[in-house]
Amino acid sequence: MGTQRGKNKGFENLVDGQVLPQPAYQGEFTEGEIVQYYNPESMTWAERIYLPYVLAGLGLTAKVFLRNMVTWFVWLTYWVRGKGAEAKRGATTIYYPHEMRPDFSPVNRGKHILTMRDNDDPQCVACYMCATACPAFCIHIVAGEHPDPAIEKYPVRFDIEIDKCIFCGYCEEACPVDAIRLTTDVHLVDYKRERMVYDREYLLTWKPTYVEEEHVYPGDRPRKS
Amino acid sequence: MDWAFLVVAIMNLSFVLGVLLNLGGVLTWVERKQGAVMANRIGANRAYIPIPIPQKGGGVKWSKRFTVMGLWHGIADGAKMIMKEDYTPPFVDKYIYNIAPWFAVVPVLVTFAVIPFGGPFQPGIMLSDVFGLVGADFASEWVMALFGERTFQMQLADLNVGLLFVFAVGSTGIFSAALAGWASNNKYSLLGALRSSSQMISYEVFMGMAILGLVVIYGTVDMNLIAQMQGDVWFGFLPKWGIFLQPHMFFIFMAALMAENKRVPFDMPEAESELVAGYFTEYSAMKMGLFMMAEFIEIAVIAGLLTALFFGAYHVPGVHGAGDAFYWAAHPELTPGNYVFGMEVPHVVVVVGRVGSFLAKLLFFCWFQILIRWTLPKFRYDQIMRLGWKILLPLSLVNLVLTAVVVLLIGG
Amino acid sequence: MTTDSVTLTIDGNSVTVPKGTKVIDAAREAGKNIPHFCYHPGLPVDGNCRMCISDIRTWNPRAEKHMPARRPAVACWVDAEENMQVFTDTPEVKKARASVMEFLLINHPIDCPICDKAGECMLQDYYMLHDRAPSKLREEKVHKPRLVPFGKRIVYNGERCILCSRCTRFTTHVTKTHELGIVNRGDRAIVEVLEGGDFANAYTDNVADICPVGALTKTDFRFKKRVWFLKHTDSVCGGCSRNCNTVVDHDGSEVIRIMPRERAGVNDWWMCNEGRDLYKEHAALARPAATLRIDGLEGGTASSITTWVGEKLAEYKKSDAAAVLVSPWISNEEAWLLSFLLGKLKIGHLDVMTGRTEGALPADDLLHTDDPNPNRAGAIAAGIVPDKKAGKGIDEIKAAIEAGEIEFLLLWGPHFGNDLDPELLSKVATVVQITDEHDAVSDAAAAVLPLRTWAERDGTWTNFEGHTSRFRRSLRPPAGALDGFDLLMQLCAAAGVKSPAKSLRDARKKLKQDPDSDVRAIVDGKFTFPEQSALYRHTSGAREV
Repeated sequence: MGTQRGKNKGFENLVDGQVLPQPAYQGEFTEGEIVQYYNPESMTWAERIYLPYVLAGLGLTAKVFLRNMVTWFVWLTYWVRGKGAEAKRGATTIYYPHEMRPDFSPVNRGKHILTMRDNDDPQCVACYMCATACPAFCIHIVAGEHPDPAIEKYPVRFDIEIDKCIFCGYCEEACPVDAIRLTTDVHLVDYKRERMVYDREYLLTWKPTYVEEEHVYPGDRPRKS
Repeated sequence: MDWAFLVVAIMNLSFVLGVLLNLGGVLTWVERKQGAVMANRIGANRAYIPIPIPQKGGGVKWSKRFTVMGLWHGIADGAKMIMKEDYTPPFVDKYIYNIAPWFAVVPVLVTFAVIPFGGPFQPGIMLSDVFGLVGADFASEWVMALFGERTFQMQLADLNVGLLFVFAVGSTGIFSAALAGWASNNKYSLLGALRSSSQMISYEVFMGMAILGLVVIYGTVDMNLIAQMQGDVWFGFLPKWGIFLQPHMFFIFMAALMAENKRVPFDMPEAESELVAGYFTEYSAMKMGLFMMAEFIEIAVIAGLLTALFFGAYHVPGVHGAGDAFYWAAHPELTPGNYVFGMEVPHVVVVVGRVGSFLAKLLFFCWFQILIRWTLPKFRYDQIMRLGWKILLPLSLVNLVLTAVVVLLIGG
Repeated sequence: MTTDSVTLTIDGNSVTVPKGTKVIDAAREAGKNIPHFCYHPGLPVDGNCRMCISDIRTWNPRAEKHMPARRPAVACWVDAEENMQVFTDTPEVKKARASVMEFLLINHPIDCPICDKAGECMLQDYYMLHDRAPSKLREEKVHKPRLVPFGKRIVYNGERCILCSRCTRFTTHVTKTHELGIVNRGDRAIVEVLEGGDFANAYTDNVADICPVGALTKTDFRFKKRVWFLKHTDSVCGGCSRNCNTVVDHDGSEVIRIMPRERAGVNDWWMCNEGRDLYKEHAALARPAATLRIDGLEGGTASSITTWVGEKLAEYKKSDAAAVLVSPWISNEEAWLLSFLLGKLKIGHLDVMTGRTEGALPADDLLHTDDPNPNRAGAIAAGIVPDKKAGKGIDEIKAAIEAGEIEFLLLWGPHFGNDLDPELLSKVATVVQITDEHDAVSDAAAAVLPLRTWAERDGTWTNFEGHTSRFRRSLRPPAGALDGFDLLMQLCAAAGVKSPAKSLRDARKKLKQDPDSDVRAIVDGKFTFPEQSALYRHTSGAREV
């Protein structure tokens, strides 16, 4: 009917944004004809007897197996020589608790830390901005009067319910004094739920877990120059 | 009393049970680890035996690194199953419920009785050689006095109905699934039992049909004779193994055996996506463990059957020269001699070579079955039935007729 | 047009105000809030902050036209005149205000993170509304004394101060104690307490309320909670019979602070320090539990005890041996329903107790009254008086108890000690106490029913001058504590008396219509939010309902 199939396939009935009524079925029905509404079987003969493709699949997995095993044995020779870390291994996964991937993105948002003043006191002034911004309501602060009048206000308690945290980074964004930061550390696991509440002292006991360059320390984000 | 025969029987039995039961445990680890390697993973690695390491400043630190690539997982599994609560649901038929797991294990173990795993050997000569090497001359004299130069078969039962025994005993495996499913008084279990019954009976039909071609060619069902005959050579180089006589039947026979074992891709009776755990849904602790153990031992038994029937049992390809040890195995009427490539070697080397050959092939087929289990997707139930009755059974019937005609024409 | 009022237009809206009204007040009348710092409706005009600067054009009758202003003028200082034109948000005015904000912020430390005022700070709000520009100052800001204690309740931070003089005017014109003053000149000017004096009058906390920035903060509220976490509920202070209208700032389970709410004729904008501390007394209250100490009937739930009390009351119908004493902390609605119930039962020995005396303060000119109970006037007006014919007042009831004539005594409220010797109560066969505080009688009374406190229930109180104020429920009541009105409804049902009201709201409506009641129309404070929520929260207009 003049439609250019292939050019605008599927939109033959669309003329100037108007949907025209579908043309009725133009073919003829004969008595007793069964109209197939499903796709015809499209398997080839080789596929239907299974065997060639079963063997092909087995060959593929066997190839992977053998390749990985050879890689493992090569790794084993390195390991025996005490150079296990240098060789390629036959698996893309790692022995998780013993090994941890060092290649997290430097902008990955993980465990929180509280930054410190020179005397190891928290830089936090207990302004509750993070607690206010927190969409998971997982930050709980109790403010107190600091003995130093220049500091005036400081957190007596600073608890983060790390199991509630969604790692959105809003606390970091909201902080006016750069006191809270999210490090790249994601290994936040424990057997007790009570221990998933990180208190002020724990948040202050951070130390760099991954330092790629000299100036990078936990929570530093690469800046666009 | 034939003490020599008794001692040989005990030796054979210890060897077979040692191999089978250990394989049953190790294969659970192999299954996990091989699946992991095939999927670029590391696999089971958490079970460890704590090693105390004394620290410099006093005190002891317990190392958790002694995992041996996760090999302890099999032991941990066994210990767990033994120590778990053996809970019997109140609604089951207790007697049948309790005996059903044994129907799974016993036939599997008994099937191996007729599989020849080392051919003929002379324990007197072999042992006196070994004792002579270590200098225990009195022991050499003692074994020579006991065995003399008698020849025994490395096979538990040298039955002349060997292959029929395999089918007869293997068929009783159905009882375990059917009885367990029925006695559990659980819909899932019953459905699993029904599926396993129909699947196993269906596949047993052409499992027998498929192997009949070989039987026609060899003219015997005695497993020992079949194994011996495979030591012959065609055209001077091609071993006369079942796989070269009836290669197509190898696939059908293996498919039937795997269906008998109810493992992926034929795991209809268990079908954890549909039937929880199929016929052993209601089983716990070591009773469930027996079903699992039977499954893994059966892998080894299937591998043994395939080796014995299609891959020359204990023969080593290439070592066929006249007078060679392995040629001699196929022709017992000839004078025995321990020659490899024309060189005479101690009898113990020949025995170890044969048994090693058999074990290597057996382990390969264990590996191959696990490869299949981690490669192929599950069949649908109707697909299994269609494959069995409509394709494999006619194929094996046609093969039987053609083989018979060819054997008649060539004259055996 | 009378000579007492003038009509002017504010941003095109015409408004008529009494003569002498300032333009900023007229604008409030017209619903237009002109931003300001130093202006406060309760204080004399000072006009030092220049924030309310507006384009004000006077009408020149001779030229018959509006005279264009030579420069913008401060709206808080200029009197409204007839036919005056005021423009509050023209571009010129906005620019002028932005400049004012810039000047005010030059030396402000912007330490909002540690400032308790943040969130309700006028400087913050107006900065967001009118300036929103970064500071141009590059030099170090001026340093002034910080953390200066003004008495025990106020801390002064000179760096945050914008010298609006609201606090000094408060001490000069409202309390007339003249403790605060601004000393030094220029950028060294600070607020100081009079030399040798102490900032210790009874209304000191008001200066922190009216301080537009965080220069004056309360030690009581210091670092306790950020203001945006607070929930605000209208309430009434029960510390004395003044019934200051208040806002209870709480977090649902405990009161964080109490702030005054504007109510003309009652407390205007102010509130005393003692009233603000009332929440501590409330938090320390020992709460009773529902108890029944009758042989064979021990224990029981609150509802079963209520039924028992109601039936007991019905037993003493028309009896001379029953008496009821009511604490002056009862709400009007409860008093009204209780007097109705007792009237139906013909129990005439009914009176209001002396109530609390320990918190009594000397009455002064500003707010304090000598009666530390909120609702004596309301209770009496609602009908808690002895029956005119045979009823006994509190002294006669006391005498009757001594004589052993009283068998059944119902005590509503805890403060009986000033009227009755606790030992005297042993002469009464059955003592029923309905109270929100556990005391000596609660240990011995035959039945004790726990009541919700003023912070946990709804009601109205009427002060000694007849102004009625409504308090609302702010805290979650402890488990088992009963609402006084619901309890009385159950008592009515148990005693077989049909309650005249279906609900508290219904009772309040009927109370207003009751010709016998002296209770005036219920007056309820209402918040108005002129421009944004934080501003004027504590200085809203009152409204008759």
